[in-house]
Amino acid sequence: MTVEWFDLGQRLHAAATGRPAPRLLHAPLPLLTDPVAVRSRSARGRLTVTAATPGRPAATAEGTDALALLRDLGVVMNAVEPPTLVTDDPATLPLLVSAARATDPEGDLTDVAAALGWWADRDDFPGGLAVVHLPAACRRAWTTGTVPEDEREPGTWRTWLDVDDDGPVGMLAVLDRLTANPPLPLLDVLAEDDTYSWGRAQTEHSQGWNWRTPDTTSRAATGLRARCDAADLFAAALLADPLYRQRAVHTGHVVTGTASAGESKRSGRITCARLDARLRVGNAVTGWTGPPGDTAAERFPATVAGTEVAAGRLVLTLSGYSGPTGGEPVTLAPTAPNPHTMRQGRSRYRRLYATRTSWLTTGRTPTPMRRDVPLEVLVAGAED
Amino acid sequence: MSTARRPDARLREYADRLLTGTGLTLDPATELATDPAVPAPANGASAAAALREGWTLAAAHLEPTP
Repeated sequence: MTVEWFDLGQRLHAAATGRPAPRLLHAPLPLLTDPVAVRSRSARGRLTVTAATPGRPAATAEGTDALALLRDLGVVMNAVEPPTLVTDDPATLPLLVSAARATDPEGDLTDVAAALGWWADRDDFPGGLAVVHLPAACRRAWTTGTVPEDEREPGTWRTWLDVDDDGPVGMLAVLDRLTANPPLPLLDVLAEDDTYSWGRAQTEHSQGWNWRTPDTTSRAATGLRARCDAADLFAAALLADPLYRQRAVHTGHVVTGTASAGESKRSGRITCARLDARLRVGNAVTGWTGPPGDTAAERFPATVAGTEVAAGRLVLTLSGYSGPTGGEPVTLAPTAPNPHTMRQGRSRYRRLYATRTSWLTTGRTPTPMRRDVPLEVLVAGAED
Repeated sequence: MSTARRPDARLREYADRLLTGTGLTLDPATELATDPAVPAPANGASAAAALREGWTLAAAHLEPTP
């Protein structure tokens, strides 16, 4: 791996110019309609919240007034669009959730408490619109001319992005810089999932469901699957960015090499430029003629069918290959997962948990059943 | 942060640690990154190539001043 040296080159350039080096051509966040910048503190058990929304000055409140402040800024379950928590402090959300848990489930603050519970539930979904942790998002977007540990500090980003205000208004200014470019592809899918989740949370809230209730087994299992899907989609979204792909060559996630014909029809061989590719047999890949930074319109799908080292070079054998075979330079990247297939898989999984007699809920090992399947059924299944 | 500056002592120390074993230290590494004519040390070819690529990419996509 040579990614540390690649990053060092970017750090040295940033230090020399005094300007951060971009890691992405896209924004690492989806379009956010209702961001609320918040910072919380707790002293002697008393919560203090400072918050702002775009176009409004920061306001501060303590104790139960702190949650009322958030309610006034639109953090409520009947908001049409899900509000986005924007924070630069890892303690903020846990403090807010503790305060929300302490509220009376039948009291005035139940609406805002449930919205805070939703933020906590969606916090670990990457690339979504529920919660934005600014330093992490900035690290995705840029490299500064400092040591990496300094980039965990929000102050480092304010300095490098020329943001003077160190409160919530400054956080919104950093957010503006982060979202100046169009979002990464696929982030709209993650945002749709968040919006769908917000709608479900609204329905459950209106039906009197208490968000403090621990997850059932099925809810936890489907939640875990949804998080895994979101992580896979976000990884694919990053690989859709030309700058990110150029860096990913140095981590082995993107492979460059030269193409030649394989031994059989529809197979190809890629003699890789480097030995540290992370592609494995069975991986679905998408390739194109040209360097990793190219956004080629013509792409070819393939599957890694074999790997070997010949004369000190890594050679990948690809099946289902329709790419060039005459020594052209090619780039291979993992194929992005299909969001539609992922959603169907999650629905099926949820149904299995919801059906009391399914093999999943009864704990029985499913019995394999085999039969001939008509071609049209196979095609329909593949299209799904 | 709009004024150019030299890497500070911590970045210098960090860079030297990363470059251990490559035959490079920060100053020659910076020179090598900025000037393609500067040859890489015998055991530092990979490091030099990666440094150059990182630097060149940063230069090509320089963040506009806000």
